[in-house]
Amino acid sequence: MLVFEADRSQPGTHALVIGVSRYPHLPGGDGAPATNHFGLTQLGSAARSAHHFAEWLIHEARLPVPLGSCRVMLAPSPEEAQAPEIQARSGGCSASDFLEEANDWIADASRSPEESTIFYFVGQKLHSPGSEDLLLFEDFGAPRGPVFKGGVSFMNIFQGMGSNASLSSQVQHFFIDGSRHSVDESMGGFLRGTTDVFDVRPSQVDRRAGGTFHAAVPGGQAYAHVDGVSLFLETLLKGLRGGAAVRPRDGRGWAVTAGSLATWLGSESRAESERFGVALQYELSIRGDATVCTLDKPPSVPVSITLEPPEAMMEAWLKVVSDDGTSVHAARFDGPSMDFDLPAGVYEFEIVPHWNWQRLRKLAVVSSPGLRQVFTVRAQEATP
Amino acid sequence: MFQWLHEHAASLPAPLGVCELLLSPSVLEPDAAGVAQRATMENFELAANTWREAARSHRDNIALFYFAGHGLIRNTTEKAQVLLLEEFGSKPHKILSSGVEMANVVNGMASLSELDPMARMQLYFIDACRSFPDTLTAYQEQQGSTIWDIPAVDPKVPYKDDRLAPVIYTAEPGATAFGVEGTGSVFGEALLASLDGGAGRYDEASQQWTVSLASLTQALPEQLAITNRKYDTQQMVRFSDIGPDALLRTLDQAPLVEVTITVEPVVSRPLTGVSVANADDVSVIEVAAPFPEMHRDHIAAGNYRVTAQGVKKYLTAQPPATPWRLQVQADG
Repeated sequence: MLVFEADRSQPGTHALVIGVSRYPHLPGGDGAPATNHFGLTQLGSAARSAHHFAEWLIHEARLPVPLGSCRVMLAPSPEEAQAPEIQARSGGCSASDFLEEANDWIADASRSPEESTIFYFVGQKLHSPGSEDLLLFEDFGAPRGPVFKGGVSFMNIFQGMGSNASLSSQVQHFFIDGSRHSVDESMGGFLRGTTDVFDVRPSQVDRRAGGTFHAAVPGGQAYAHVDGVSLFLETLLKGLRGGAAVRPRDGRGWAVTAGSLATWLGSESRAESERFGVALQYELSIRGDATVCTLDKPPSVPVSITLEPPEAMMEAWLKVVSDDGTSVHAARFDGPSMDFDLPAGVYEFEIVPHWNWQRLRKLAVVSSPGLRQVFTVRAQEATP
Repeated sequence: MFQWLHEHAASLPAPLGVCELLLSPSVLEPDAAGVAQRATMENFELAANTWREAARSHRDNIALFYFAGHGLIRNTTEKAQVLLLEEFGSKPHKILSSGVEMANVVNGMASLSELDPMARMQLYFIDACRSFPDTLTAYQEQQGSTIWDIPAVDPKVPYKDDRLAPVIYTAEPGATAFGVEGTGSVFGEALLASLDGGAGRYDEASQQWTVSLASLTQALPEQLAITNRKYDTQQMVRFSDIGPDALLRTLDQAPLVEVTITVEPVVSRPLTGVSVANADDVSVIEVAAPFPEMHRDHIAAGNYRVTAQGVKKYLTAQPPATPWRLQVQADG
């Protein structure tokens, strides 16, 4: 379903966003049961997650090439369908429906090398160690035809999106959300009978830039908040909204690049694993360091300053000055560390301690990606 | 790479253990002749198995694989690269017999369960072409050689490959890798320059300059661009399977950064001088008026106070190279 379309006379970013929660042929579904369901069941947050990602693209994202079109395919669960905005965008999500949408998408993307693409899929997936990922659509498990007819190989999508002269030099980003359930070797190393959506030309040199971001490693599990969105999407959006922002080399503005986003997601997967008591591991690949989006202002960064040794903190003051000479923070230490927020940038930190200790000055970059930015400053005793 | 590892062993996050080296030098590489066993299929199998056994001795080990030579892809799937060993082409009836399936190498290093002591950090550097020869289209199916069997997934044991095992390719699919006669490969030069400091970043937690996987992914494309300009080549780089950040090495000091300073608008340059001071207010660059079209310098990576026409800015010199564009008042 085409939900956004801009002026077609200019190059654009073309997005295809898919969220499949409802699988009629898997346990819990209302269709004829699959002869082999591989342990897969209904999902509760895929359609909601995809909807939120599409909303970010349409209403918030500052893309290097403005959004040209956005296609959304949602197969919501009964609970997700109670939200009118999700129900309004729900429709057929079979592999053949995807074939139609994908071919419209690739037609838009093929107009010129200056177009760009974004692909986001969340739903059930299968992974064979001898092959690659199979994205499962709503009709997976239907009793007629090959077992994997309702699945599309991600490699077919990825390679197909580089299969002509225009596509093969573009910036393209792929986000693959959801678990990567392993298929045991009784099914063979390659998953046959899948639905291909594109032809692939093997001799085309692939000069694409961008990133491919998986929410799990092969055999790994992805997670979601109950009645919420997936953890991967939550982290992804936090990164795109500033958590993964870096200063481009030309020093102008702030941007999220494929590399900085990969770093952000990698760091956050560790933090989230501890926070939620699960084993999260994302699989991230980048080609060059293409910009994903830009920010209209520096992101806010939580900063923590710790002064050592503890006795130096007594009556010590911290002053933070930006490069235009503006004092942005001034306070006295009243504990082991001082926490506050700053817009990302370069600052001068001056610590004015008790007369027993030397005054300290430090220039430091306050920047994303990352969590709280922690600075530990070691004071030295003043010479008599 | 072998020499670099030995010279910088003390800066690595884990002591250098087993280091298997195979070389098949050409007549243009006399200094590499006789240094190591030749890179034949038989020697490669032996060396790889020794390396794998060592990697499997403790999950905190770090395994590193570096291949430089000819390579090709036999289809367009991401990991269908074949690495060509010395005797490639010796068997006309099985043309890929002395080509090793790269996927087999990587897959054979997987951890198969939580209890598997296989090294959980692995680095793969593939400095080889990924061209797709037309010759291969004449065959129904082509497979390179494998060097080990991949165990089947045991359905009773939860399978999860939880390695951090990035693969860094020097060529995009369908493209070639470039070498410079008498020097080495373009990618190899950029990689070593990055490890020597071009990918250096200051780690606040340890208060050290380090090179990490994250800093390498961000700096290596830039370093490669510098090397490409030097040799007029178009080498790209692809990173696959990146995960959380991981330390690659520590640096003794802040690396040097090439800084280029320009002043805008042009009309302001006759009256503009620029001074750059470090955090201790020690001057490191002084350029008196009139400011030239561009000033190039090398300073230690870090943060600086840059003053032009009385206007001060805090700027960062970040490896491998940083452009500083200063906007001043047109009327000086």
